[in-house]
Amino acid sequence: SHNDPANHSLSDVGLMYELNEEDQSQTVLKYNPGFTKRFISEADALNKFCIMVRKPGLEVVNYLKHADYSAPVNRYLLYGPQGCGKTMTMLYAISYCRKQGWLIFPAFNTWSWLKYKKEIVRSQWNKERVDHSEVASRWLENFRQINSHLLDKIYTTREYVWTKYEKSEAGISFASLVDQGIARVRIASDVIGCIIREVLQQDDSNFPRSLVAVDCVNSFFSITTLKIEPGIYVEPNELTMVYNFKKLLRNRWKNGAVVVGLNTSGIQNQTGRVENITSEHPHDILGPDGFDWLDPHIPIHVPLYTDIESISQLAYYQDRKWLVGRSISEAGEAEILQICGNSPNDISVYCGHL
Amino acid sequence: MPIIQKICFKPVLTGRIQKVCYSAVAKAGLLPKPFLEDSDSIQFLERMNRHPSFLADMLEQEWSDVWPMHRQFNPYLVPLPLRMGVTQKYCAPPDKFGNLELMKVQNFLHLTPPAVKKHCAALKKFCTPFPEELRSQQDFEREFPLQSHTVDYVVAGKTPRNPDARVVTKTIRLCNLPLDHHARLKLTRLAGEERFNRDTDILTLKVDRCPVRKQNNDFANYLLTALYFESWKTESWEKGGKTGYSDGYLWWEDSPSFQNVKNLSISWESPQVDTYREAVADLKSEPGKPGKMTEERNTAINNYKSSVLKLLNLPALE
Repeated sequence: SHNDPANHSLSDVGLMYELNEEDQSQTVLKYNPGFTKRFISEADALNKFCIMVRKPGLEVVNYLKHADYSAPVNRYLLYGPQGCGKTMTMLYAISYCRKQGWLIFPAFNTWSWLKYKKEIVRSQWNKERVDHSEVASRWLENFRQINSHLLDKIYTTREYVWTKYEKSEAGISFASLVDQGIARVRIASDVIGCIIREVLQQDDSNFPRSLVAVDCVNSFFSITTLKIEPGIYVEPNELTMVYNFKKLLRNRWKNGAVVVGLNTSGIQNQTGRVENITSEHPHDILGPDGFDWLDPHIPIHVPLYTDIESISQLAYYQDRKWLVGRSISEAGEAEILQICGNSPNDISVYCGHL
Repeated sequence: MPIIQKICFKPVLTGRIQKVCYSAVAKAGLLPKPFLEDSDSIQFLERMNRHPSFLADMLEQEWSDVWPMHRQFNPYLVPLPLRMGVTQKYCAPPDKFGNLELMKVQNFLHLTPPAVKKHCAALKKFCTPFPEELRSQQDFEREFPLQSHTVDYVVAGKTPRNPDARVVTKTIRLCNLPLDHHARLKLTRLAGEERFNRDTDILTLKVDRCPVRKQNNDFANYLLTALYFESWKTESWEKGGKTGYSDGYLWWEDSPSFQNVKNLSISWESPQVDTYREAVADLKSEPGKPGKMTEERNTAINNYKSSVLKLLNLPALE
């Protein structure tokens, strides 16, 4: 029973929640998984894929349980210091929703949509928009992976015409729509737009509930380093994917929930310099536009580990025989805690492999 | 310079001759005058002997009769031990007798407090009583919201006209004008940042472009009128723009958060909406320095969270 996030309560804080093989195959995405490379390699080494049950995660799940789904969607905003588990909290919420049979829209590390050299091309649908096909097709693969058991059961409501000769009939399943998008990279961005349109305009009572999980949501309200014409940077709103995802973040649709996370590391400006943001205040990081877009949301603070949690983390390492020798003595534990200062990321790095 | 050398190096003369020689030389500005108390008092007595009437005059008359108008300094009429001028080493400044510096500067000896009082008393019969309704500063502002400020220069020079006298400064507190949010924002934008003080809400128009004060005054009036009526117009290009809190004020009814709450279809009169509105205003009006987390900002976030939870009717984690 403890393997289902729905049954967790405050007394379970600090315990580890294990994702089994089946969960892993769906939750650990192929491209841009929320889990860091460090986390995945560590899980491989420990031979166990665990997420710690923490208070912010329980809080999100609590709200998801009690929300009124006939009303417009609620937005939950995770904020807190760097390396404290905002993304892991989001993954915890995702694993809850997946077990409840929700349709999930995962978007991790959205900075990568806006940064670096990408193939971008003017949209066929709307000349003002810019597609990045590669990112879009990768996102579709992620979408297919995480919702593999659901996509066959949902059907489109209208006909979509891609080109003169290609079109999708009304009433085909989402799975075939997504497959079409992955096969024809050119239309991948438009397929995403269609899926999002179906979600926003759903009126079928059998349509599953949707969870939109966007990490680094502040990237949608910042700047890009992409250029489609020399000298002019593309605005985030011009990108088809960003434009469509921002529609999902509004409270104009029902039967769903939105969990978004802020990201303060690596906020780059257009010259490539990383700006230091010391604040964790949502209004500072999102900016006025972003804050208004998400208002009213429920801010959920993801703090550093409490003492119990950090000791529990060390106990987990010791149980998996990862910490041995001097580090399992009382002095060794005290030293690790002293150096890492209850920061989850620091503990993981300090106890991690070389 | 034989005499000077003689005096300087051989001061063996008798007292009286020495005094005379010293003062004569000192007057010519050739030698520093040594500070000798008794020599000064002797000098003073000498002066008194030369003008025996002046102290007696002082004691008998009113000062405003002795010195009724502005006039040049006269050491024999002013019974004050004044000293002025460049100080030599180990010397006191030159005294008032024959002192050019004292005669050059303007004096206000005709404006002593009793003289001013006398003057006012003489003018009083021409004045009317002050209106009783105007008790406080607020009353003034209600009746006369527009203040005009000019400066008159009075100078004893070749011409009575001073070019700075043409400048007209008009100030008005904007809350005295009927303005809505848009008009107010537009007026402050049109007038410019430097003419509007946000802390006091005062708009200041300083006009000095015309050669005569009357023209400047007319222009200032025209400017204010034009600003007012122009700010009430809404041009077609303004419709898409955001007038959220770009002027530093949060107009909640215009803000996107108001629109978002409208979407929620909850009862509009409920107290949850009020608390939510206050919490949003607190969060956005940035208590404390942006970029840093402080206690105040943390409590603002927590208030916001609890108000939203009430608004959306969600239970807290038990």
